[in-house]
Amino acid sequence: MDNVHKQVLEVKNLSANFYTSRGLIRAADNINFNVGQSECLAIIGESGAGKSVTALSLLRLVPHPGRIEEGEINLEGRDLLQLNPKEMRRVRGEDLALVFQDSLSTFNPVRTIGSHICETITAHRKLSSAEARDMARCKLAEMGLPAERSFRSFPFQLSGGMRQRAALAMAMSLHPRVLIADEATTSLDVTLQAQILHYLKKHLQECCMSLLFITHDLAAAAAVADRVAVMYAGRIVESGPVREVFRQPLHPYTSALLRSHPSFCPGRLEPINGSPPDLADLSPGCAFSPRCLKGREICRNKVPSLQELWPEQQAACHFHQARKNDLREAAVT
Amino acid sequence: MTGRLLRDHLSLTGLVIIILIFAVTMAAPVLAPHDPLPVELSERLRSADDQYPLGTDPLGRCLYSRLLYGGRITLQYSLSVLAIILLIGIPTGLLAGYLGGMVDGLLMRVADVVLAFPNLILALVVTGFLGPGLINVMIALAVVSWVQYARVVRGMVLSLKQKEFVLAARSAGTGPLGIIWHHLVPNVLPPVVVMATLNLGGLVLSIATLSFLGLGAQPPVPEWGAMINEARNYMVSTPMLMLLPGTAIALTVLGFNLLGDGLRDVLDPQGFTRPRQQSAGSSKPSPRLFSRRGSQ
Amino acid sequence: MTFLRGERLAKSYIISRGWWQKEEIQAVHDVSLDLDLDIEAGKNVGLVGESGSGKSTLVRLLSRLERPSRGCLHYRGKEISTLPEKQLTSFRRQVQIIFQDAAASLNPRHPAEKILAEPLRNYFPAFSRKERRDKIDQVLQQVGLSPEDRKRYPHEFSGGQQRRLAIARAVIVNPFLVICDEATSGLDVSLQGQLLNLFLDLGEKFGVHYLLVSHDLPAVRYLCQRVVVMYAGRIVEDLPANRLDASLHPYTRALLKSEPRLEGSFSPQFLPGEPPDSSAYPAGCPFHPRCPERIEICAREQPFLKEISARHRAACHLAGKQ
Repeated sequence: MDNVHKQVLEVKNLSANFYTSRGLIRAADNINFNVGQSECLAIIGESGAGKSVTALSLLRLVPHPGRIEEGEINLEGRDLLQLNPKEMRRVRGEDLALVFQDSLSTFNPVRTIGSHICETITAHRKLSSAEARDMARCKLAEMGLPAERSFRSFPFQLSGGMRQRAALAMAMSLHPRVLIADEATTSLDVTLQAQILHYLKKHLQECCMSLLFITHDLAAAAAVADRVAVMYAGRIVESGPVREVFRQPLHPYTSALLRSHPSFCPGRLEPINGSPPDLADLSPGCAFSPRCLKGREICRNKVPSLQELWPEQQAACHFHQARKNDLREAAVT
Repeated sequence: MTGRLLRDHLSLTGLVIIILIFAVTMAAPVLAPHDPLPVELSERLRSADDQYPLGTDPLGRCLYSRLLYGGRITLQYSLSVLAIILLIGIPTGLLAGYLGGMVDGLLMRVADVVLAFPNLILALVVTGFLGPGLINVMIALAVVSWVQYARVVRGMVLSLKQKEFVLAARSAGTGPLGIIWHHLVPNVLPPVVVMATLNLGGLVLSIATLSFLGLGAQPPVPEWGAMINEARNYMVSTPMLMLLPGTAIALTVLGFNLLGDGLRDVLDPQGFTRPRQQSAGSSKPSPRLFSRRGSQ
Repeated sequence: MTFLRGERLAKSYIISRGWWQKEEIQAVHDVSLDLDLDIEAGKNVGLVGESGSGKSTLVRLLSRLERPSRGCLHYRGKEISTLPEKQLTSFRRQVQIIFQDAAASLNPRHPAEKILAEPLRNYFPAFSRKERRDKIDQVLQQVGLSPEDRKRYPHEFSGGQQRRLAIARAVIVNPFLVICDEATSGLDVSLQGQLLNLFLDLGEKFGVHYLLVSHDLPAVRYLCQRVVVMYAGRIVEDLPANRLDASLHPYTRALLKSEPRLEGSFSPQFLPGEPPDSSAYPAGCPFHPRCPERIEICAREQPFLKEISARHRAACHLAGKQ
């Protein structure tokens, strides 16, 4: 791993709340992370953990009744939360691009793939339509698609994998600084997923792009990311380099998650019991404490803060010191 | 469910109107001060007083009593037509949708032919053919209206048939009749109830219209549409004769429409057939957050 | 005796495009598959393939929810592919299905109790009301729900609980084989883990065997002893799960390499092109346009599924020749 990444995106104390009839929901609570140039940060977590809200917050697209409460989103030194709506529109697509899981709803069904991409290009760049078309074809070809055919196709005429690649081509048509992929490979077959992960990794290097890879698929995150941030109930509970986090997780949630997955757990799975908490009705302490095997008195009363335990690896657990000692002993013996 | 219906002001208004009209017309024998039929020419066109709460018509009959009895007939016949329509339409739709193939083709072509004509015109033709009379109007309306129900039910069955719970029922050993009865009918009915409620207003109007045109209720039978017809000559001198049955019709139609709209919200088929999902993949910005908004 | 055996099963659908044009789509081609389901051949079988590979159609044929266009289906030695529904009662009880979309597989207007009572009533008509009730309570507990959940409607359950309810409905009639059609796909990690363990536990407790249809290789490897790989409507390889690393078909190997892993650098084998369109399979081996190891014969001749070693079959011209 390259440690001299220039930071492209820095998120500080970002909080987004939803004001619902059932009360305040802290969908993203005090989120801190940064993404370096050509780096991929994966945000992993289960549904309802606040991954998507975090992604939408970056683009300032949090849907009603949600609102970004506070924080800073620095994209190459500019705080996105201070921009006016017009400037923000320029940022979307040009500096920050988003790819969703469902590429069928990304595209308007009555327009061709090509016209979508051309529209994106001409909205941001002063180019003639012929130049825009050439650029769009070029982007499609870069994604390994038959350029001419897919340019003229309607969304439903492409297979799921091709459509997802076309969506990626569109998102990358303006060379964004950061690409946010929200479950972008989740519903695809393994070989197609592998294809897309391959293209993504290639582009990180070639285009100096950064990737924010949001997924609940641990294996995909492990394959593509340099660093991971694990979210639970709206908070980041652990973050660090992907190898370290997956090999020696510091937070009990992370290790429990790994023991739930057949790729990472050699013997019988030990899945986490129960289901994710109701965000409108969180306990005052650590949100994971009701499901945590190590839960103690302090866990139920006090929210643990994120602390750096190893270089670059952070966890929010009251018992991280003990965990660290365990790991150290294990390393010695 | 009923709670939600009652909380909505408009549908509550509709429900109250309908209940009132039903109560009043069904209690006509008790409430009406006079027999609505016998002609009493000496009492013609009296204005409202203690004896005749709303006055009398050109033939000296109590307008109030005729309104009450007229409503009875209008409502009775509308409901019967609806019953006939549902009895024909729902089974036809179920069969066509479930069996498919030839049966479906045949039934739906018949439906296409019926749908090709404007409803009221076709009803006029049928009554013209059968001769005037309330029973014939009923038949005519049933002939032209069952089609919409058959179509809607068939459409719903076609999509329900593909649903995995129907396959699961087959795997659970349930036969075709059981599937239709336990799995298709309960899912088809709520939208049909909504449709029927909205349609009742229309049926009241159709019966009144046909009677107004002299094809439905025959004198001296009181019926709202027929009463408007009889009052035509006195429109300027005694406008109440026309306004009162007209208002009664309008109120009934309004009531059914309000109630139907309310029912649609409550029985919303989307809400039932697609309950909130919590699968991980579909967490487009966390569906759980949004389901909460709705479920207050 | 083999529990369930498909012999040269084929299914095609006629799709009309416009008034005159008809197009035939071959979803499943000549599939022969023995589900012995004994310890030796593997209690649980995984059916792996990508979308469009025909695995869902094959499942519907094996469970006789659809009749095959050609071929036979033998259930305990008896041909059942053309039997009328009335004579299938024993088969229907022994072979249960869990569908991918649990929410859609539960009638939204029936409470849990009624959903579970339906198969009991049909297959065990002799049960008294009390027996039925006890059985329902017992199964609810076994799948991790509680007897108090009896009165609740499907939409009142969480996604995970809906799945448990669907599983309860399948195992309540003591089936021999439960077919899980993508039953754990697209779920949160912890829920998927919970369900996989539930499958294992129920398998031991009730003697249930599974046919796990999935594109999720790790789950298949976890639960199954035998893996059947499908591509373009055919079985391309059929082998014991613990010998997956020794797989012979290039497609199986590509699948294995596509699986993201933590260890080592991830460099997926690149399959060029797209999965074939089921209305126009390429001549010869259907995989040859994308196959990295194709030889000249592949474009001409369709390879047949042949026995490579005990319990290992592969359909590749190169298999067994190196």
